[in-house]
Amino acid sequence: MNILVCIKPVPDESVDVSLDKDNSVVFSDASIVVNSYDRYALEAAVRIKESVGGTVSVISVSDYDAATPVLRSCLSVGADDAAVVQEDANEEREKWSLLGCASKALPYAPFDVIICGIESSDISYGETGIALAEYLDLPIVTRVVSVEAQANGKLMLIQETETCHRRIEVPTPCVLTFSKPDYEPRYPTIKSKIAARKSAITLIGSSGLIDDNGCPSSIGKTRRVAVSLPPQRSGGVLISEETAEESVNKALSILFEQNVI
Amino acid sequence: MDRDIILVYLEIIGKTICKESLEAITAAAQLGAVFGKRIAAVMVGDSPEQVDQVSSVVDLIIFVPSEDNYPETISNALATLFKERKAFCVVVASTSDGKEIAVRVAARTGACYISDVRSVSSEGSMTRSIYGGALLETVQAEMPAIVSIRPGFFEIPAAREGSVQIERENIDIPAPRCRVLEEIPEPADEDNLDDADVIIAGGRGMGNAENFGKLKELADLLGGAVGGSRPAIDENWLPRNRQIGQSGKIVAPKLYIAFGISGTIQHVSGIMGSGFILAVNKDPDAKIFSLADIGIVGDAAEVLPLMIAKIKEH
Repeated sequence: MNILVCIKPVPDESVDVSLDKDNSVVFSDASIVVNSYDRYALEAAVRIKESVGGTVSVISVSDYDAATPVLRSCLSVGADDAAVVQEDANEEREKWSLLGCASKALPYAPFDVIICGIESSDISYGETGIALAEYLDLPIVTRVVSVEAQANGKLMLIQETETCHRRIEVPTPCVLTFSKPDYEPRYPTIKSKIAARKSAITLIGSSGLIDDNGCPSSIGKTRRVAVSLPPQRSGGVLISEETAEESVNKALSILFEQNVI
Repeated sequence: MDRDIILVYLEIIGKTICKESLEAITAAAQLGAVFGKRIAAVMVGDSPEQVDQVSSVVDLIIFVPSEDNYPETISNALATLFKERKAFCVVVASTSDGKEIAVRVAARTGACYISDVRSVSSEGSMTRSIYGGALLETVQAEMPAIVSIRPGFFEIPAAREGSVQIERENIDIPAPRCRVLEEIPEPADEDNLDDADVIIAGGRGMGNAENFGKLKELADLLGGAVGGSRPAIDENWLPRNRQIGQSGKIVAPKLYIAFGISGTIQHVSGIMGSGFILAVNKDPDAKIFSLADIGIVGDAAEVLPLMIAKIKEH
């Protein structure tokens, strides 16, 4: 199976995000990494490849220089090739429509499966995979935690919701969005890192990529009018007595006194 | 008149309309009040038997008969209704299925999409969390729009006197391409995180599953429920539906006790509404102390049994 995994470079989740006095968003120094759900998507893709053969391609809609190290890290854990769609400021299109068009132009296209993370850790819209499936008119299963390629060419999936797990069979080609499975993605080896460093990453320009097939674009229809800090709480008493028992006694006496318990 | 109606999709879990969808009705009603629109609840399934739950709080119920109510089918039904009824807005609870449905309908109709809305202003702008809850962004949408509502931020509407008209709408829905072979329900919760007055939560600092298990004893003692931060769920010490924080549940108990939780923004943004926060962590610089009413610097696994013993004595 030929599989495409969509990767979003995001600030590491440990980043401190705040507002400066002009209400602009400022970030503490943070490395740019693969969005964590996209790492699960990539690992799932590599496992499918290992079980039934095929290729794994990764793609980002991003700035080429910013995305290159992130995509190299994907190449070091099992992806076979990588491409970046350079966003063009004049071409007001959603990332998913760019991904959809680029997906048809990549070396291993057409893809049997396209996998995305369920959402990104930065703006958390969670729309890329789903909108991409609608755009390409492919079946989609969201919040997948397990995938197995069957002999009949279909995929057997486990989907996780708040209230149940569903076992779902879906034909290929299809799109999946991946949640956290019950395994950890693999880490690169020194050898795989060196190999990835030498690999070329394809640059795709966005202009001329759009094959205007009538898919509506919602960009520009929402406008951010303000950014603010959420309600804050301030810390109270910090207890650090000689022994744990003394600390517990002191804390509980406050709780009892204030009728909290 | 065009664009005079707001559609709210009601998700049925088990045999009842889920709480999250009832909250979505309140959000829809707030949008309706700002823009002067009527509210129509949409139910999809074999019968609209749950109408009594909402008949007094919406202006109309549209019932779409269907053999299943999986996201693919619901999305087809809502996209069709949106076009036929020239809806002003579609409001969906931001559950697992709801998020998928909202994006599908938006992509199919070209309406703009706003996810995980937590408040609606008197001008009709909507606020949502970004960067794991570190910031809030307020967005103004060009209507029509598809809006998903973050659970836990809107009240459940109070029942009023009155009855409501039910319109049956037969929609030709294509056969689903994904085949659901089996649905395995999560074990029913004996204690409910959403309504608990006391929540005892644990994180990585609990060290192991055995220590983590002792949180239940304290919860039972105080009549509370057990939850956890993402590392505790990743370690499989607790099922995923017990995760508290930005990618889990937003909670607001009267008392929240955090054992061995460092306090990442993703976690603390889910507990800000708590009445009283007690945190135990061995790192005196742990971020959780900056918002806890009382912090105990100490090993969570050591403090927990001491606390249980002292409360029993009391």
